[in-house]
Amino acid sequence: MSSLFALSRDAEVARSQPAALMLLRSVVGTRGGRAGALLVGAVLALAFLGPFLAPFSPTAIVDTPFAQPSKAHALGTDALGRDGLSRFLCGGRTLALTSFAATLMAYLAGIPLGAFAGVRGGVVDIGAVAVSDLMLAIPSLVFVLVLLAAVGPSLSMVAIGIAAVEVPRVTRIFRAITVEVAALEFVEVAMARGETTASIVVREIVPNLWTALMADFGFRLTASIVLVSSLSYLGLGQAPPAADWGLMVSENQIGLTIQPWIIVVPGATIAVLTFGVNLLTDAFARRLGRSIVSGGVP
Amino acid sequence: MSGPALDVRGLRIEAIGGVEIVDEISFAVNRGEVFGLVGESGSGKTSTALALLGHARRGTRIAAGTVEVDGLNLLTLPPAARRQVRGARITYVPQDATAGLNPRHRIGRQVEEVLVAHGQPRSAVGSLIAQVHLPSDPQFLRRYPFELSGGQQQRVAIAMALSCHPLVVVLDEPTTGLDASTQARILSLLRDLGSQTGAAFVYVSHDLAVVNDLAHRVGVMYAGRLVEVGGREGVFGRPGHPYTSLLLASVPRLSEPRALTGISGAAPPPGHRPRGCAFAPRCPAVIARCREQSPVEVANGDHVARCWRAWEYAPGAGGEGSAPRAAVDSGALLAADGVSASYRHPGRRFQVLWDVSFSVRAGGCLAVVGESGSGKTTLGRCVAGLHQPDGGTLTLAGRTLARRVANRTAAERREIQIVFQDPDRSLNPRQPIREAIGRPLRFFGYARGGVAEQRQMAELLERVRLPPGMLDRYPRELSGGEKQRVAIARALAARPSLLVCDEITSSLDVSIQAAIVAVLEGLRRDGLALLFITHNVALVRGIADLVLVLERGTVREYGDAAAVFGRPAHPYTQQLIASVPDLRLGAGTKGMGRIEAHRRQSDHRDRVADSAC
Repeated sequence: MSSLFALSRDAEVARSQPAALMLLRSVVGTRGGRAGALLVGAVLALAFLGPFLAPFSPTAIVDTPFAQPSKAHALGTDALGRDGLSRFLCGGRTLALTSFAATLMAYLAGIPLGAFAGVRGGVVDIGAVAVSDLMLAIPSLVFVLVLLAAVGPSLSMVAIGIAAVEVPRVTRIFRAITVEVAALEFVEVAMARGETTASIVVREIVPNLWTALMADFGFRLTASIVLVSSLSYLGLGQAPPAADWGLMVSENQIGLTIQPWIIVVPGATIAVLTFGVNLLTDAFARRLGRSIVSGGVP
Repeated sequence: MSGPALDVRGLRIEAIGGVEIVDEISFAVNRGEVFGLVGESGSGKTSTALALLGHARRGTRIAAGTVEVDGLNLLTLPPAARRQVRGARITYVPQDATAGLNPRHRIGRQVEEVLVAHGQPRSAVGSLIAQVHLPSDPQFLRRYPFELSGGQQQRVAIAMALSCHPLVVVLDEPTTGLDASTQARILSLLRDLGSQTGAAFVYVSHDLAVVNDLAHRVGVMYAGRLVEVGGREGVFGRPGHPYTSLLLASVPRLSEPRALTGISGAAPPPGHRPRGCAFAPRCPAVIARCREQSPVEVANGDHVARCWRAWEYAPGAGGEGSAPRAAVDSGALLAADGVSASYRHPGRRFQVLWDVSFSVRAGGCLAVVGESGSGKTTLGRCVAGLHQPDGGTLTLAGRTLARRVANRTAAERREIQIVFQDPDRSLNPRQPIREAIGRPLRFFGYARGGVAEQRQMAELLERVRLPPGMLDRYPRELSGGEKQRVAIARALAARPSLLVCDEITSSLDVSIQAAIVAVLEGLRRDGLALLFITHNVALVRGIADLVLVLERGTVREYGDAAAVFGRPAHPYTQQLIASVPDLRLGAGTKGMGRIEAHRRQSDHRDRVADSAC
């Protein structure tokens, strides 16, 4: 009868707040979820508030190249003698924004595709799955590199390329969940009523995908962060002389033995961000790994 | 050696944190006696059953009381000694035998394991298996659990429970997942075992008819309390507690068609139980004192009721033989002619319906009855257009219906509405009730928002007897019965002429079921035709005017309800009716002879089904 308990208690809370907020609260209530939220929050705060706190202009040459950390320059200087700390503080915003935009685009295209294929079934479904599988066979980085080589590197193309890489993954996941939801009787009732597929997707399916989206979001975002930083390391993202964590690693690798801080700190920050996102996602997945029917409310 | 085999006194189980789950449970069971513990979902009967073995589920603990097996208090024993008593002196048979058997071990070995654990000779396996009427040959013992039918698995579980000649056997809903005829065979087995072994049986069930069939003494639980305990004749014949009276009035009876009363409202869950008597908010005989003070036990011989007005309340007799007839017979509304259907599974085709024909007149009620796997759900889905039949025709008011719902006209889709079995799956958890009911209203053009829509939604809720305040709630805030009413209201919003009801009450408690059936009867009086699909033959008795009996996809009998139930012509129908436990007193062994006659046939069927796996 313990489940009965949980139900009645949750039902009471439910009256006062929406399910998504409830879920967020319960996730942050777990130890892993709390740690993840703290790490992600700290890195995002750094990325967005950093530019306002930077002591120097990120592009100004202030000292000799590869100067050791000092009172004036907490992280020393980079290959061109620019202030390491200022470049670090200014270098996270584009990374965060680009990966977030890429993830968002992937969902905007992938969820409707997956939901449509899942509800329709038959040839549409088989086609969507086949195309997704085909695209999944191409390595992500190679795909984006070829795309950027063809149309020329720019930040928006990086985001679009990464979104294109993620769309088949998103499609497959949300198609699978849709198939599960579409087997539920309320969807059959809508079909029996004669509702169009689009109406069924929008009214009956998509509202039931939110919780899965929350659990999946972290994976997509982490993959995007890694791809964006890889691309900027390769010089295909943010163009120099702008500051960027990935770019900082590649610009300064010749001085790795003399002045490692300028490489280690941005690299570690990216690692902390992906680690935090993973912790948070894990907490969501644990919380949600029960049933779709309860809408993630166990 | 005198004294009861099992003596429970003042048992209290709490959730961690002190919320009461059950309290003040006291009863005793003598050797050779079957004690039936009945209650609806959430009444605490399973928590109580587990506590009899000294076990508390995760998140709960046994806070007070004693459980004595042959004078030995289980609750104060050290864990090791308690384990020795469990499985030897007191044993447990779970509801789901499949979950209780290890799928990777042959059944002979599993039974052996229990014997070895309690120092019994291995050689007893054969006789144990034979005791539960299963073949004890080595071939059978080498089978895996999945090679057995549900009934056979339950028999193995019972054999394991009996292996050490226990003094007390606790059975927790052992026949709930089984077909009526399988259930009847298990019950007859238990009856035999009760007199043979001399053990005390505690039989936990939500099914009053089964308990009436089996038990010598009965305890009725409500909201964590034992509200009534007494002999079977006393409790069922002259109940002292209003809850028992109303519960009995909710049970459909095969022997006498009548209107079911049902109990309004729902049982309060733990932590939400009111002060005073927990039944007071739903009780028709409530007085001021009930809301203030917890009632004390009132005894009438060995028959005890926990009520301030014990033996004072008698429910008004339900309307006699109320199966309503439509005023005018306006010819067939829906007719099926030679419908056959199958399911495709990669590479294979399973035929589930063969040549099914029937008709439902406007305002009529056709009951489709059959056991699980008889194809009755597929038939309902074919009518609703959710499953494409392979052959045959369906006509609605003379016009042939397209096989797929997508190819039917809007008017045809509107005319036929369907309500499903599982209330949790039939409402979108992300939509408030307002949306569930409002959408069909707008879709079929009856309303376009505004006051008119509000009024229509309130009317729909009223027709299924729900308060208008429900509109802004979400499905998870509703009980199972309430959700099912919303699903009916949603179907009614389309203003159908035929409602397909697919086992719509089978997941609900009996008092809730009775209330839903009352709603359906009201709708029939307004001229709605019903295609009522169910495995519960007794339930159909009160509402159907026509009956279609399905067995393995074939029509066994079709005709007027009174005729089919009064003089069943086909042996399968006879068997189906005979295996329904009835509440009538003294009905205990009704039809057992007939069941025995069919047992060989059915066992053979089980075996055929097994070998097909």
